[in-house]
Order: sequence, then structure tokens, then C-alpha cells
Amino acid sequence: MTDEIVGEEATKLFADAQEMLQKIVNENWLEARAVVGLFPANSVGDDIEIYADESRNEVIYKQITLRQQTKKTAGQPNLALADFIAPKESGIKDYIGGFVVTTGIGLDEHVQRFEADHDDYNSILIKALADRLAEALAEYMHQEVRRKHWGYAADETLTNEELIKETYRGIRPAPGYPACPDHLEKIGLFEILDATELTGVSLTESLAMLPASSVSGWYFAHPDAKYFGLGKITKEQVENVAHRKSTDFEVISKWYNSVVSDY
Amino acid sequence: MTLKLSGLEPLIVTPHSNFVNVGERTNVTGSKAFLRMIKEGDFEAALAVARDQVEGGAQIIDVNMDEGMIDGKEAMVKFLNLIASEPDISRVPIMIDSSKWEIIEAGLKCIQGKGVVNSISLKEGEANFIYQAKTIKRYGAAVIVMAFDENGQADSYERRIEICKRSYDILVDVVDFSKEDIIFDPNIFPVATGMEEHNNNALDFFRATKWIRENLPGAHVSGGVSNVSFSFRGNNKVREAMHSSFLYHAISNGMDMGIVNPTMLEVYSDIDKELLEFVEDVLLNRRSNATERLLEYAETVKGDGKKREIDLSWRNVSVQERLSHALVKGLVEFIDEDVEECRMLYKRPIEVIEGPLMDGMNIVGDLFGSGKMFLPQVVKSARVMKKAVAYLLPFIEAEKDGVSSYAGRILMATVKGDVHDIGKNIVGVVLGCNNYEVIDMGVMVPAEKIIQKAIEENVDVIGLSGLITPSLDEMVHLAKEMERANFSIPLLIGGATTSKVHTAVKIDQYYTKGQTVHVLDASRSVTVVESLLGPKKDNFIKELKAEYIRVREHHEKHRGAKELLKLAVAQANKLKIDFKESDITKPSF
Repeated sequence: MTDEIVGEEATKLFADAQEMLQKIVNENWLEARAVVGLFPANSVGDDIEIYADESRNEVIYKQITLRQQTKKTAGQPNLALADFIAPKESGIKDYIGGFVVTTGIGLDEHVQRFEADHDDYNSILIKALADRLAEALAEYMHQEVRRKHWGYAADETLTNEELIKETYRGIRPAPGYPACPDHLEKIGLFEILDATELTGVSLTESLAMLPASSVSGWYFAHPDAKYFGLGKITKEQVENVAHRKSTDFEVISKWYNSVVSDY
Repeated sequence: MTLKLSGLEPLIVTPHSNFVNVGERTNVTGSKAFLRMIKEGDFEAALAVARDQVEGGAQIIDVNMDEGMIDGKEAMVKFLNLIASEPDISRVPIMIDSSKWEIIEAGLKCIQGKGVVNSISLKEGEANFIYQAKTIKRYGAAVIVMAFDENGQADSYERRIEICKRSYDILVDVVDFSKEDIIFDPNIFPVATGMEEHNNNALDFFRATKWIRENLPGAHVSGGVSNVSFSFRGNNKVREAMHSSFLYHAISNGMDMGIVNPTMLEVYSDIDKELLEFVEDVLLNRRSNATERLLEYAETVKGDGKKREIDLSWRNVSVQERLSHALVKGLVEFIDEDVEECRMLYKRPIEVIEGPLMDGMNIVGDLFGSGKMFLPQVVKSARVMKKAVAYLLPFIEAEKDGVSSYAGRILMATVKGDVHDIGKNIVGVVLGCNNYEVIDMGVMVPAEKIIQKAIEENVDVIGLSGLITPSLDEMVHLAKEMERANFSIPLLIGGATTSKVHTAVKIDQYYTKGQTVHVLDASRSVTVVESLLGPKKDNFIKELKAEYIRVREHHEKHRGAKELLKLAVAQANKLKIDFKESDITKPSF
């Protein structure tokens, strides 16, 4: 905002966005919906078994996690999200969470209104704002989960600044992003949360979320859980994944095109 | 005659290019802040200055370390080497700016791509000039030649053209320097200094510029613009007006490159008319008391000149100028009434679009192209244009001759399965601003619909967008479908997960009948489309094909270079957390 070249325009853009944000709030332009679920879970190899209840007898979903295969310097592990959940054989009862949130309900109506008025500026602005609001809602729900629903950080009191820096305990990686680039995992996530029914967010054939202003992901609570980038993996791992999913390599391989090293 | 420069990415300056804006802040002689950073060895901060400029739209960055207090050569080498490892800076060409030959030569050894030397001259005689020019040629850089010879700096029109001609002939005939790599700096000197012999300084520059462009084929003209307003230091309002007016006249006379501080520039059409008259009287030496009148006026606007209440004075000018103003400033309030008024003045409603509205949008395009306007402003301008066109459309349709005045028709879509369209919409706006007709099919559009629409509407280009990785495959699919349907029009690829490598390696090869192009961001879209549809498209496509082949070969050679572990080895090296009950909280559900 204070930049000598773009500062003035950035300030104007910020003011326009603030003004629209007020209208979104005051005139109820957008509706926010969220679903979160917390489940008993244990890791089995690179998979995470998610159970129907505390008896841990019935697996309602087997989450496949992908493991880094790049050569690490000594002492650095090859991570997979499954590492952050206690192994089944340890006997320790662990848990995992999932969430789907959206702030895109009602957005189309306003976008169409702006476009009918040839107003690309506000049409782009409201979409950008709705995307930010979805992130904010995801952040808010994560905090609610840490403090209340899961409660592993019941007395967490962080400033906004600290929240932005993610100084809190636990992570919320999203399928399709660096720690778990596998979009297919969204199918299972949505199923166990009954997310489409409860939030109105659906998945397209390419597994994009609709409305676009939506965020989904997993909650990991262990103090050592951290974000990482998967990097490139081998075809061998994808074949292994196919085996773990009891399906054929050909059926799933296209979903891994962008992460397999020899593409 | 095309000047081709490059950092990591090319900068092609054609006769039709917009003015090339050279960043001036990484210059110790011009920026006290930058000098302090270099003196204190704070190269991190110095890099940030360079990055800021590139992000702010500088197409070349000028680097100057000529200061008595520092070791210029060492500072130049260190700074250029640091820049080289910052791809977001070194994507643009570097201008090595020094009056010391040893610094220039040291700099030439550091830069990647093809930079510019600023500058050499005949000051120390022909032998020296030839030696330096030959060396620069060997390093493969372009060169700025100052209008300076053994007798001193050129300060008249005649001296300017004499020295430039002599320099040019030596460079072309003796050194065999590429004509298009020669850039003249015919000296921008201050005006309104109070000394009579300075009254023609700006005018002589304009005339010399015109002469160079007409008589020295291939050569370009550059200069440091802020010099001209030296007499008005401390009075930004006058300086800004003077810079804009100077640039306006210099560019129309053929200046195609320059060192300009974009924050010290008023939009030409926005300059207060009275001030503009005074400024131009001075620049063009139109009256004997021009300096006195401007000085008098300057007294009344001292200070920052930013008394910005809601200023409706722009309503007092001609309707054509009002339309331009509304477009440049993105003001919609009066657009319908102004368009209506304008419609009455022209025989046909389409002429309002082709005339004043396009003129205004061209200003917007130029300002954006040269980094003086920013995306949010352009989107606002586009909104004004759309409203104006929407107002005129019923009148145009009433005439029913269906003659299109667009530069091309572009089909855009977010591919099947993907819902993200902010970037695509921005590209649509920017193309729309540049007189392309954009048919936007929206999001989640299946390939067969795109193909069908492209045939129906006889479009010139198809642009695909997508954000998530599965969309990459959908784009490959569409390329195959275009091939099957015997298309030969260009295919543009854009979106967060797309890349030049992916486009070259995975998409391009399936569409052999036409050209696939990866477009990095909205600001590139216009140049790319212009090149694809313009008179030199064959050349552009040829170069692109060659580049994509290089990218493919490079990719082929380097794939697998990063060795991956066997899955079992990676699994054995998993993170072994010592899980304790105490670290796990049972959810309170």
C-alpha cells in the first residue's frame, strides 16, 4: 500500500474491496456453510484407516497418502501424511478430522448482476473476495475445532498475526495441494462427511469443488505434524497405490500425471 | 527493424512496440536510498529495489554504480551476479550503466541473455570508440551511443545529427555492428533554465530524434527524461506535467526507449490545460516569455499539487476528450450521456467506437503496456468501454451492415471439470480492451462444445484456462480434438498449474496443424495474440516452434536427472514419531 509505484492503486483496490465486503456482510450477499467431522483413525503403512466408531472395527474409509521419494539429506525423513497418525500396531488410539467449507452460495446471482451491467471489475472483485472468505472460514473452523470440537488446544489464544503465521498446533492439508496432490482423496473425504448433502458443495468430473469458493481438507493434530511438499514420485508408487486401492494402474494413473517424475 | 534483447525472457522491440520503459532506481547517481544500500553492503535491500521495478513494469533495468565512495566495479559485479540468481528479476534485460569502461566490461561478463551497454561515445576518439564497440559486439550486447565527441557533448540539432551520423557510420561500416542494436541518446537537457541558449533544448532533441529515425535505418532513440525538468526540482506538479508532455512529443518523433520514473508522470490527457499550454510553450519554444510564464504559474502550484477534491473540471472539454478521460480514469458516471452526445457528432454510431473510444483505449493500452497503468485500473477502463459499447450496440444493429471492426475474435473457456475463472476473465478484459472480440463460454466447458462453437463463430484463436492439475489432461484432450477437426488456429494455454514446459512437452505435439502457446499471465495475452494474428505471425510461430522443440529436448535430457528413491527405501525413511497417549486428545464429540 505504501509502494511508491503501485501503492496508490493498491490502496484504491483495497478500499473498493472493503466497501464490497461491508455490503456482502450487511446485505447477506453470500451464505457460508461448513461441515467438519472427527474420526477415530490409525495408520497402516502409508494408509490411514478411518473407523466408524471407537471400537475401531469397521473401516469407513481407507485414506491413501503419498510418500516423498526425493533423496533427502541425512536425518531428513521421506514424509507421508500417514506418518502423523499413530500406527495401528502401537495400540494408541488416534484421530483424524475432515472438513468442507464454502462461501460461494449466492455468489452466482451477484456475479450475473454485475456481468449484466458489463461490470467486470466488480464481478472479478466479488469472486476474489468470496475465495478469500472461503479461506477465512476454513481458518475459523480449524480454530473452532482446535479449541472446542476436538479441543486439543482448548486454551489457545492467538492474535490474528499469530494465526496468519500458523503458530498453532496441527495442520489442515487439502487434497490437490502440495502435501497431498491426489485429488481422488476428495471423493472419500466428501463421502464420510456427507459433504455434498450438508453444504451443497459438489465435485466435478475433474474433482474441482463447485462453487469454486470452497475449501476442503484433513485435520492432523499431532504437535509434529507439519506441511510439506510431496515433490515427484515414481510410477512404482502409483502402481503400489493402485494395488492398495484394489484397482488397476490404468484406471487411476491419469490422476497422478502431474506428480509422476517421468511425465 | 527489430531490437531483440533478453534477460531470461526475450524483449522484442519492433517499430510497432510500445515505448520501452527502463527502470532507473538501481542507480547510485539517481537514488540516494540505493546508494546508501550499496555503501552499507545491504544487497538484499538493493535486490528488492530491482525486483520492485520489474514487478512495477520496468522492461529493462538500468544498473549504475558510478560513485566515488564505492568500488564501482566490485559493486557492479556483485550486484549483477546476485540478480542472475533471482529469476524474477533477471527475466528482464539489464542495462549496464557506467561512464567507466572497466565497469562496463566487468558487467558484460556477468549478465545473462542480451543486455544493453549505457554508454559509449566518440569522446575519446575513434580508435577507442571502435575498440569498445567491437568488444561489446563480441559480448553480444546492444549499445547506447551518447551524442558526444572529441569536442564535447552535442547541444544543438546540427551537432546532434552530425555526431550520431558519424557514430552510426563507424559502427555499421567499420565495426559491422547490427544496425538494430544501436540506440542513440541524443542528450536530454533541462529547459526553462533562464539561459537563452537552453530554450531549444527539448525541441532540438525532438528534431534530432526524428532525423535519426528517418536517416539512420534500424537505430533506436533513448534518453533520461527527468533531466528535462531539472529547473523545477521540488515542484512535482510541474515536473510531472513536463515529463508527460516531453514524452508525448518525443515518442511521436520516434523515441522508443527511455529512463522514466513512472511515479513522476501525469497522464498526458489529464494535465491541466493551462499548465500544459505553459509547459509546451517552453518545450517547443513557442514564445519568448515562455519560461517566465511557466515560472509564474509554477509559483501558484507549489507543493505536491494534490488538491484532489472531486474535480469536475474535466467536464469542460470536448466530448471526445471527455470520453478519453473517462476511459483512462475508469469513470462511468457520465458515459451514457457523453456517448450519446458523441453519437450525434458522427455519421454512424460505429465511428464513435472506431474513433474516440478506441483512441481512449489505445491510451489505456499504451499506459498499461509501458507499466504506467495497473491491472485494476485497466479493468475499470474496460468497464467504461463495455458500457459505452453496450449503449451504442442497438444503434449499430439498427444499421445492420454487420461489418466487424474488431482486430480478431477469441473464444475463451475454462475446461471441462474445472470451475476457476478469475484469471480467464482478466485475460478476457485485457483482450477486450485491445479491440478483440471475446466470446467467453464460461466454466466447465466440454471439448466438443468448444470445437463446435469455434466453428460456428469462425474464431481466430481459442484460449483455454484451468487451475487444477486434472485440467492439464483436458487441455491435451482438446488439442487432440482440434487436430482431428482439422483446425489450424492458435491455441492459448493459461492457468495456475499450466507451464511452458507442460505446454511444449505435453500439448504442442498433439496439435501439429496449428500453434499452441503458453501464456504466463494476462499482461502477456495481448502481445501474444497480436503476434499470432499480426503480419509477422509466420516468423513468430517459427520462433515459437523452435523454442518449444528446445524446451522438449532440454526436458528430455534432464528428466530423471533428479534421482528418486525406491518406494520401499522412502518408506523405511519415514518420519518416526514417538507417539504418546499424552500427545493425543480424544475429540469431545
